[in-house]
This record gives sequence, structure tokens and C-alpha cells, in this order.
Amino acid sequence: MSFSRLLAVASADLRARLRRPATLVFLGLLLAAASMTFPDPRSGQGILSIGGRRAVYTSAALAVATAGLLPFLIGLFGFYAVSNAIALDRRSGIGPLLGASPVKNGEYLLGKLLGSCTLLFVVTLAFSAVVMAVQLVHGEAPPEPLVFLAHVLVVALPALLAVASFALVFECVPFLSGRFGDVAYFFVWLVTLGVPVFLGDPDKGLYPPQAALLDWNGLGFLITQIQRVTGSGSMSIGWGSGRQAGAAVVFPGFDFSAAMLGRRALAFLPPLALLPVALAAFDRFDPARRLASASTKVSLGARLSALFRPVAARLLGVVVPAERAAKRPGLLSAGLTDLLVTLRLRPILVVGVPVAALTALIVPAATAATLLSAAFVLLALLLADIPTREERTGLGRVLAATPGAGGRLAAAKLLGTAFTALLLLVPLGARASADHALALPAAVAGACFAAALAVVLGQATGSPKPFVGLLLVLWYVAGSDKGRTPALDVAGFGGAATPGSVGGWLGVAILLAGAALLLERFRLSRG
Amino acid sequence: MVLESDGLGKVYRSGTWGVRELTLRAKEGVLGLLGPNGAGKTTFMQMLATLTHPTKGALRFAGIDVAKDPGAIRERLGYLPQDFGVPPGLTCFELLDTIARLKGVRSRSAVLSMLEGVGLHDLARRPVESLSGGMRQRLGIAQALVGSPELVIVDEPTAGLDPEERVRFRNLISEHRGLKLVLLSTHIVSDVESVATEIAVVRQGRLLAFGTPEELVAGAAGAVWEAELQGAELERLRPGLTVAGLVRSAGGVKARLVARERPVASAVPAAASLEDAYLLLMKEAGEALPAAA
Ligand SMILES: Nc1ncnc2c1ncn2[C@@H]1O[C@H](COP(=O)(O)OP(=O)(O)OP(=O)(O)O)[C@@H](O)[C@H]1O
Ligand SMILES: [Mg+2]
Repeated sequence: MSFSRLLAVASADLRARLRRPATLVFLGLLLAAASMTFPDPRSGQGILSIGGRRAVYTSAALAVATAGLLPFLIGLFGFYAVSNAIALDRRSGIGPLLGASPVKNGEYLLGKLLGSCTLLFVVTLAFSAVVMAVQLVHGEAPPEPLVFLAHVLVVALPALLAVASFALVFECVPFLSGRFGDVAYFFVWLVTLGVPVFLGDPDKGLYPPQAALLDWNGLGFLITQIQRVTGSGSMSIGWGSGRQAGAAVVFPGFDFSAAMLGRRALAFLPPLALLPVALAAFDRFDPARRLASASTKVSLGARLSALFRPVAARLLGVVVPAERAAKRPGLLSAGLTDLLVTLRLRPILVVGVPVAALTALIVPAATAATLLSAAFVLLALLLADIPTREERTGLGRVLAATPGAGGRLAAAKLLGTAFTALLLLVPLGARASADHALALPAAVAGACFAAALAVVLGQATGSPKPFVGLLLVLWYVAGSDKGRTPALDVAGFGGAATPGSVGGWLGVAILLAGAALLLERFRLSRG
Repeated sequence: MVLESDGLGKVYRSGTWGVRELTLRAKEGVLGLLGPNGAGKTTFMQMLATLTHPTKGALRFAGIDVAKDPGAIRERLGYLPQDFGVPPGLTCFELLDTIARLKGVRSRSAVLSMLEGVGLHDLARRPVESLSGGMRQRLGIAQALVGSPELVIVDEPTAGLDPEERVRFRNLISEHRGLKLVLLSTHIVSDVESVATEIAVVRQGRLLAFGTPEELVAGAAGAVWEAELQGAELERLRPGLTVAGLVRSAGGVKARLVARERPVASAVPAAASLEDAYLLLMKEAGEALPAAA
């Protein structure tokens, strides 16, 4: 094991990432969020409340509030930001060079791990710096940077390591390295958020070792510690916390002790235990291993495609009337061509969509709403790659020189993603509308929204992952709201859609689509 | 004149000029672009392919201004970029069919016969990622030629092709009906020599020479020499010579030298080839602008 080679891998990784638009967009959004998360204390609102009373903006209180956001920022979005460390090398063509170099697999993987951890660490520090600046602005208490950092890092460090390790493992294991893995991680994350509550009872200060072990995101740890120092099980973190009357309280800060740190350190163990899995599964850019793993997939899919690919093409041929050959193909046919590519890449859809439609006819309307929710998760998987798939391979240049897509790839992609999403959601929405009249328009609005979000995020970041993360969070929020808030019912699966919510989501879809078109305009004009 | 370029220039955001000042007029046929790495060949082709805007000057194909009416160019265009990559998952047929559709062609037989043209019909159902590098390049050529374009821009199309395929590529281009102009860049001088009707030699974003292959070769007449040299003698003289080729011979080496004046006393005149003409142009341009950026 050569430490200098490991460091070389890590620093190359970090440099490459810090120059990627995806990283910069992620950082920018994060810092903007950080500066807006904290309401002015004079409004009587705060970010942390204990026993129903607002905590004064001391460094400890703001640090705890920051730490409360980290399971989402690092634990969830961090994954989507760093889970392309190996893919970037593969795509840039550096991979085979590394594969043929003396770098050992362990050095390479640990280097990548270190690079990802450092990136997430930098993000955490930048976020903390913004929050400390907010504290200075409000001036309720003197800033104590060390106290702040201690509170943030005790929560953040295991989370950093866990996310980076998961990202590495997901990238190395063939069937987890694609969009399926991105969706699967979301559910891993959901489960780990719930585990400490399931194994212990943080609200009562109960935090047994097995809970600590699986609580790398640190939410359970955070609640337990606040409970221990304040004796109050009722605390909340979030905008407007402490709206209730009563004098503000001063949060005393965590009770740092060896026992407490030892318990928190347990959370480092599972991520470390994951690393051998990555090592065993890493293909070292061996094209044969890569193809072999892909070909098991292909051979199953290949048979299907042999059956269904011609059918799909014929169907589309019927839907889109032939145009005069020498004329510029219309936008509609460019969008349909994009849909055709999607269907060819995932021939299972050619069977899946009719099956879903038939199922929708048979099942009760309430079940259709549940299926609609499941179909929305599928959108995260299906739509994410569409906007960037050609750009990533250099085929984008060829498309840009065709009359069909040249100068308007974004519009074609908007249509292509919208068609895909509508195919999936409309039959279920139609069935669900037997129970709830607005289910169909809501499904249409949800499909359009998801399509526009996929295109604009794909364009802005060049990566399919932010879309997966964002759409799943929305789905989760909408699902756990159980239809209480119509505005959250994005595709109507909560049965709560109102004309206002449908119009709202359609409006957002149109805004996002407009943004995607403007972004393309801007890029073309700079070309 | 089917292609007219007037004072064309393109500056990248980094401040580098990709093309500095290019004026040329080409007739129908095959226009070969020759030039060293970084000469601006790809930049020029990308401007003509409507991918990037000229910073200055004008570029017209068949009277259509590329900057003003990119849509009209794209209707007539087939383009093979220098770095042609393929997204995994599609088969050869599907990839070609996709591009064809975006060009307004939706005839299955046109796609299949194009695959046949580049010798890939047996692989129509193979996933593109399983192709060899040269096969991939052939697929790239096929997608550029599909849909009967009037203008075909191919950036180093013969890179990675085996000799047989290179011949097939030349025939493919010459057989293609309705084709007004093929713009082709390459570093393999013999490839353009046999296929190009006109050749533009560029260097540092400027036009260095323009003409038919015969005209360019004629320009180097009397400037090509052959000399038998001893190994040590060659090493001593080498810094001052432009060597076009070396062949080991019984008495030492037989060197092919390019120079306006007899380079060594023992040199005898030889017939010029396009490669000699190219080397001579580069040598003289290097002497003329020694420290240009
Ligand atoms: N995207 C870019 N940004 C900045 N500079 C660029 C870019 N692309 C090319 N250049 C610069 O423009 C000049 C011309 O490059 P170009 O790619 O056109 O050369 P080329 O003749 O195609 O070379 P090669 O034979 O190596 O393919 C070079 O100096 C190059 O560094
Ligand atoms: Mg080039």
C-alpha cells in the first residue's frame, strides 16, 4: 500500500469534481439554502425549539440545527453528489490508464473514498461557515466556532464516511451502479433514518449500542443528546420552530464525554465493513468483466428486445405519419424518436406499459392510486438518464447536427421524457379517477412536472443523479403527508388533488421547461 | 463554388483561436483538410456542421449562410465527429435508425442498405458497445452517410480502419449520389491523395496552401532528393535536414530529403509525392513564422 499513490488518486478526484458543474450547482444550492433556512429571531421564529420554546441563536443551537439538516444534505444528496467517482474515470478514458498502472485496487478505492469524504467535508464546512455568518448577522450571542464545529462534526463525520462508502460499493457492484442503485439507496437511507427509533427511543434518551451502530446519519444521536441535556423530549428543528409563545431558552450544548464519543464512534464500523465488498466487486476497468456483467443483463433483455423492438418501431410508425424525406423532421417526431430510443433501451417497457394499463382496468380504483405512487418511483429510474444519455457519449454532437434535434435538443428531450412519463402514469390516473375525479389531470401534471425536472436538472448538472434524489424526496414527502396537504400531492396518488394543486404543478412544469429551453438557448449562443 | 469561407475565425472562451483567418473557395467534390495537430481542422468542421458559431467572417455552403440558417445546413448534412462515442444498450441498427429518423428518413431498407455499405449488416443486431474500435468507426461513417446528405463532414474517418476498409470507405464516398461536398480531415496523406479533388493545408488557423493534389505536388517539384548516407553522417547532418523517409540499405541508410536546394552533396533529385509537398509546406511555414502562438 503506497500512501502517496492513494493521495494522488484522492487529489485528482477532488480536483476533477470541484470543477464539475454538477458539484458547483450542488454547492451553490446548498449554501443558498443555508442562508435562507434561518429566520430572523426578532420575528419570534427560530430554527430549534425545545419544549415548545425558541432556542436563542447561540453557536451550539445553530450547530445542532445544522446537524439536523445533515442527514438530508449529506446522507441523501451527498450520495448522489459523490456516487460517480469511478464512473467519471471510466467516461473520461482515464480508467484504463489507471487499470494499467501500478496503482493497487485498494489504493485506488481508498483514494476515491478519501476524495469523496473530503468533498463532503468541504461541503459541511462551507455550510457551517454560512450558518456562522448568519449567527453574526443576527447577533443574539457571540460566535464560538469551536463549539459550533464540535457539534456539527460529531454528527457529520460518521455520516460522511458512510455515504462515501455506500457510494463506492454501489458503484462497484454492477447491478447497483446504475439508476436502480440510485433508487435503491434512497430506501436504504429511509431505513437507516428509522432504525434508531426502532431499536431505541431517542425521545426518552434511550440509545442502545445497536441503535448507535446503525445510526450513521446521526438523527437518533442528535435527538438523544438534546433530550439528555435539556430533559425535554419535545424538540423540533425546522423553519418557524418555536412559534409558540414563551421566552426564548438558551440551549446548553452537548455534554461531550468519552462515553458519548465512544458510542458515536460505533457508527464508523458498518461503513468500514462495507469496503471489502467494494474491493471484491471492483472491475479495475476490465472491459471483459464489464461486458460480462452487462451481457447477463443483455441476454435476458436481448431476447425480449428481439421480440418487442420491431413491434415498438412499427407502433410508432403508425402513430407518426411518414414525412416527406427531404424535409426537416418536426419537433413532434424528434420527441417520438427519443421515446423510441427509450423503449429500445428498455424493451421491458414495451410489455410493461400495456400490462400496467390492463392492470389498471382490473384493479379497484384505490389500488390504482397505490400503483400510481409506485409508478412515480419508477419515473425516477426511467427518466433520469434520458436527458443526458447522448451527451455523455459524444453522440450529442451528432444529434446537434441533425435537422430533427439540432438547436432544439432540450425541446425534443422535454417531449421524449413527457411521453415516457405519460405512458406510465396516465392509465393508472384514469383508473384512479373513478374515486377521485382529479386523479387523471393530477397524474398528467405530475408526469409533466417529472419530465421537466429531469430535463432541467440533467442539463444544468450533466448528471442524472440530482433528479433521482429530488424526485424521490418529493415522492416521500407527498406519500407521508397522506393527502392532508393538496399542494403536496404531486401526481394525485394521495387522492387530494384540487384544481389549484393540479394547476400549480402544471405551472411549475411549464416554468421548469422554460428554464430548460432558456438554458439551451444560452449555451448555444455562447457556443 | 459550393463552399465559400471568407475571413473565417473562431476564438474559444479560453482566448485560443481555433481558426484564425481562413479564406477559401471549394468546388464540388472531396475537399481534404491537412494540417498538424491543433491546426484548426476540427474547429473549422464544427463551424460548418452548425455546432459552433464563427466569431468573425462568413461561411456558406451552396449559397446558404451557416450562421444565418443552420437549419437548412442540417437538412443537407451528415457529420462524423472526431470523437465518435456510442451510448451502450442500442444495437447497430437501432442507433443508425435513430439518426436516420432525426434526419427525416424512416425507411428500414435505407438503414439496412447503409449498414451493408459499411459491411456491418451481419452485426445489425449486435449491441454497439460490443463492437471493435474500427467497427464503431464504420458505424460512425454509416450514420454520417445515411439519408443522402449533400454535405458530408467527416473528421478523421479512416482512423482505426484496416486497409481494406479504407479502400471501401473511398469507394463509398465516390459512389454516393447527390453528394455535393465531402469535407474530410486526416493525418494519413495517402488517404486524401487518392480521394480528394481539392486539398486545403492549414496551420495555426490559417490557410497555407490550396489546390488539387496534382497542383500541390507540382509545387514541390525539384525539392525532393534521395541520398545514401552513413549512419554517423546522418546523425551529424540531421538537425539541418527535413527527412521524409529512411530506408536501411547495404552501405548505410537511404534518406529521402525535402529541401529547395540540394541538401547534401551526394543527393540526387527524386519525384515528389503529396507527403513531400506537405512536409515542404510545413518546413517553409515553420521558417516563415518561427515563434507564432
Ligand atoms: N473547446 C476548446 N476550448 C479551447 N480551445 C480549443 C477547444 N477546442 C480546440 N481548441 C484549440 O483550438 C486550436 C485548434 O484545435 P482543433 O481541434 O480545431 O485542431 P485540429 O486541427 O482538429 O487538431 P487534431 O489534428 O489534433 O485533431 C487548438 O489550439 C486547440 O487547443
Ligand atoms: Mg481534430
